Amino acid sequence: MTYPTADPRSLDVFYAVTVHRTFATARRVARDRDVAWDATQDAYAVMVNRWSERQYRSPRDNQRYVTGIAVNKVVDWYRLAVRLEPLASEDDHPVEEDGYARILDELTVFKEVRLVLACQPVVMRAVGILYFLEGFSYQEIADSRGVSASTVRSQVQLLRGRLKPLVNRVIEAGERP
Amino acid sequence: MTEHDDDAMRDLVRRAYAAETEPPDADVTADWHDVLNRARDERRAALPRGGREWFVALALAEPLLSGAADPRPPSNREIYERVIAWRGDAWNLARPQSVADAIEAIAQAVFPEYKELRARQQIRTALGRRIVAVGLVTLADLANVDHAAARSAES
Repeated sequence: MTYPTADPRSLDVFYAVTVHRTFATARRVARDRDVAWDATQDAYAVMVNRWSERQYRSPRDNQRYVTGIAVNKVVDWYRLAVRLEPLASEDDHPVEEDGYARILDELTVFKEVRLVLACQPVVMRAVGILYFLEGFSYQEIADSRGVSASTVRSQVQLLRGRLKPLVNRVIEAGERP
Repeated sequence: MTEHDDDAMRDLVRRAYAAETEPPDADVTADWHDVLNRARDERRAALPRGGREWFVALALAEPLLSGAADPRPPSNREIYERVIAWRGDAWNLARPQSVADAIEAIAQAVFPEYKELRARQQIRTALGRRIVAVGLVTLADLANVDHAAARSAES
C-alpha cells in the first residue's frame, strides 16, 4: 500500500487511502457488507476524535489502529445482536456447514483456507484475520481486543491446528494453487 | 504447530485472500461526512447535552465562541456562576473538585489520549479551543442557553 506524501497528517486523506483496506478486513471478519461498513465508519469516527494525538504516528500504525477498532466493532456488533453467533472459548469448534467435507473436495486450497477462517466463530475469525492476514502480533491483537496476549496466543494456536493440514497439503504436493 | 509454522501459514492465508474471486466491494464510497457526523455523535454521547459536563464545556468555550477580546479561560468560580446564570442551578459545581472532575471528563472526551495534558492544571485554554474545534458546543448552543436564561429571568 502506498500513502500520500503531500499532507500525511490530513485525516481525510488518510481515510481515502486506507478505508478500502480497513473495510476489506472488517468484511472478512463480519461476512456481511452492511455490518462491515458500519463498523468501518465507526472506526474512522473514533479516529477523528483521536486524530490530534495520532496524526504524528506512522500511517502504518494508524492503519493497524483503525483496522483493530473496526474488527472490534464487528465483534461487538455480533455480541449485541446475539445472532446465534458463537464466540470463542477454549472448547470452541468451527461451525461446520452441511456438506462441508464434500465441498472441501471441490475447492482449491486457497478456497479451503478462506473457508476455514470464514467458518470460525466471530472472535476466532477476527483473531485469524488480524494475525495471519494482517500480520498483527499477539500483543497488538490483545491491546486491540482488551484481552491478554496469552489468550490471543491460545486462539492462534487453535487456528494453527486448523490451518496446518492445508499448509502440509501445499508442501507435500508441491502445490502452487 | 508452533510459531515457526507461522511464516508458511501467513503466506498461504495472504495468497488465499489475494486470490479471492469475489473480493470485497470495490464500490465503497468514501463517505467522509458520515464519518464526521458519527464522530460528533460519539463526542456528544460522551457528554450528554444539558448535563453538568456539557454546561462546563460551554462555560470553557464561551470566551472563544463570543469573540471576547481577552478569551481568558474561566476560573472555577466563574464557571459555577455562568452555569447558575444559565440554568438557575449548578449541581455541585460550587465545589472546586466538582469543576475539576467535570473538566477531567471533558478532557477525556476530546483529548482521549492526552494523559499528560490532562494531568496539568492549566489545561483550560487548550480545552476551550478543542471544544470549539470539534463542535462539542456551538455558538447556537450558547445563544440558546442565553436566550433560555433571559426568558427565565423575565418570567
